[in-house]
Amino acid sequence: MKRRWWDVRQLLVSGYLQAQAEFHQLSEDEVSPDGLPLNQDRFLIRRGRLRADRFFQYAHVGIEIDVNTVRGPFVSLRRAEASFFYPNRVSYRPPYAMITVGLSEIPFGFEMRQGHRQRLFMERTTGSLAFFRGEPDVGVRLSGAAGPFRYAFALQNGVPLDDRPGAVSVPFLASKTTVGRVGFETDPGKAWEIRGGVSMLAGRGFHEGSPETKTELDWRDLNQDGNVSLNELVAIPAQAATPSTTFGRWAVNADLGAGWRTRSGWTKLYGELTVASNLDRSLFVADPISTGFDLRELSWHVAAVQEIMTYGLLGFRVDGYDGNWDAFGARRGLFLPADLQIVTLSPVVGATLPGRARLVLQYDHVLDSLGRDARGEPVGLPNNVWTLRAQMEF
Amino acid sequence: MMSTVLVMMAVCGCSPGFDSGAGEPFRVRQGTFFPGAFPEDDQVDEPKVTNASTAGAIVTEGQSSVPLTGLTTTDAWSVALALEGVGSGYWTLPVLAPDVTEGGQLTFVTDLEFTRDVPFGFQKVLVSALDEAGLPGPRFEVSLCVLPETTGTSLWPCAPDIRPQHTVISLAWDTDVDLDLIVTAPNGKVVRAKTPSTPVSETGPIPNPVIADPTTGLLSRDSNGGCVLDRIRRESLVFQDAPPPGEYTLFASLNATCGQSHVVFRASHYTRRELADGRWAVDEVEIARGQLLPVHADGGATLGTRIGTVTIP
Repeated sequence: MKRRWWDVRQLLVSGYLQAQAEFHQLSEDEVSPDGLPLNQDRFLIRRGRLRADRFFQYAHVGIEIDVNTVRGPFVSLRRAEASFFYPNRVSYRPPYAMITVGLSEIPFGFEMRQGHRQRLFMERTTGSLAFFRGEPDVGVRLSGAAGPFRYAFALQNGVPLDDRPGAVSVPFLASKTTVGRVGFETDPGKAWEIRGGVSMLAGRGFHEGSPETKTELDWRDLNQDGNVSLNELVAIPAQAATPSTTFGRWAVNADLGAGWRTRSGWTKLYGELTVASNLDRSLFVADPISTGFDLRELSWHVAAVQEIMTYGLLGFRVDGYDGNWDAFGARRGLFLPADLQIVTLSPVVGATLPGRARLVLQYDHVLDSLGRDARGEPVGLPNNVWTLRAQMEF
Repeated sequence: MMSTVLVMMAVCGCSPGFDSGAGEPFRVRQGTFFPGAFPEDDQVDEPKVTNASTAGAIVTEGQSSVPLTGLTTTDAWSVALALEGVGSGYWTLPVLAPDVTEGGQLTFVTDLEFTRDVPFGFQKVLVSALDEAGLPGPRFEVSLCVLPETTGTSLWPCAPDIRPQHTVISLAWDTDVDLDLIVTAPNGKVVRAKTPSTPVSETGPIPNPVIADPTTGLLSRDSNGGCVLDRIRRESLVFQDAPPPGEYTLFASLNATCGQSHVVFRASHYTRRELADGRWAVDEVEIARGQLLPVHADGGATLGTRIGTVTIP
């Protein structure tokens, strides 16, 4: 007989460690103009997670911390949530209803809800990372299950936790973000599975105003002689402060996945599609106040994962992200449509001791138009990546 | 397995080797860097750079934001730029909108950056136009005079028949700290950022004629003063003509570390020498080299660390 997951009444402690080596084609032993290292070839602790959970009959409290060396040694809070729930009559299904408060997952799509411990691929897709720099956000969430149907709705700050050291702090708005997903999934224990759902997000972004400035005197060395002449001095009048503004952002998402078990092991296919507006907060950061128009974004991915006789793993993922459908660029005095789409092909091979350890090698072949050839025309940037990761868990 | 990985990486072109040009001594802002020889073809007439110019012809070592503008024939798609004999490649820059006042010729504009690794003296910025197929046209040359920071306004590095300064006592360092050169002159004057000249005045401000006297030593600047970083990292006491004889004592005063863990400094003494053909050369003598740590930072409360003396006969 299966144990009901809330029957475990004692404190549960779990965790995992991901140590990896990365080789980036773009790496070079230099620093950017703002002092950041351009070399990304390195060994690092990508994630070291320690999690503690305590279950009660109608409640749960959990906390998770992360240590990593992505930008030097760093410790941060990854999850801190308290839940109250009404149990499901079917033991292996989630509760009929559960209210969760605190720092918890954003119920949007598939990738955002998939744990880093379970994901075979190294990171979320480019589009998902552009939309959500981190997985958790602070707020309140209502979730649950009824038969095969699943639902989750949340009211959150709309500022996903960015645990990167030195990350720019984003102001919280009075207006909160509404996000939710409804879907379905088959019960565990069968030789096949299917799941899917649709998600939505609506919230507001922030365009930061500027403080007022003082009157200044500026020297422009017009004749490049290194000496100050009177006609090279320019008075810059004081500038009035500009007000901050908010703007709307939204996204809709559909995800679908299926799997079946054969003698070789599980075969799983899944994918999702996200259409969004002004949601990019990380890559081509969307600010319609600056651009003067709303930015439309599209993110998609399709993936396949194959288990091979318990101990082997094969996977392949294709993901695409376009941070601005309406991008234009100037070339030879003409405004021409610009292609910002980034497509990444990610084959992966690995070996695993189920529930204990995993060794995975992934190659990311990136197809984009972010480089320039000698004529100034857009070409692919040589930014492919190799990653070798060892994961241990308990 | 590791050998397999390395072979796969080599096949896929993922081995190290990408060069953004960030380490090049000559850089073109918003340009794309390509290793290799500068593209040019003197056998064709077009595409052609019809004009390219900077606002002035003088650049100081380490100077950035040197504007360059120009025109090309209408069949150009981009321009290639390089500093002749400097660096390991060239930069390309897409051409911009046509200039209707110049018969529709296409324009280009950028800012040039000259790092401290660019040799002093006359340098040529090479510019050529590339057509739709990426084929180059003939070169266009823009001449610039690159001056070391120690020469001030003297054009001697580009014109050796011009007489350089007689004496320069210079302190240079390697990290962005607020380091000050302090010199005690034979007359007892402590020359530093707040008192940046060698004469002593007992009756108030130093008269302008005394400041203009070529035997007066003037401090060039307060580099990184108050941790407002100019990144020049050099201060010099400059005498246009022979300084008053005597012993000049040098100090390196670490005013503030500006968050740095250490600084390595080097002090030098430059003197001019007339050659037999009437031209001039500059001789450099190293006075001291050393390191200072945060414990040495005193906010200017003392003269700092004594690093040597220069005796003027």
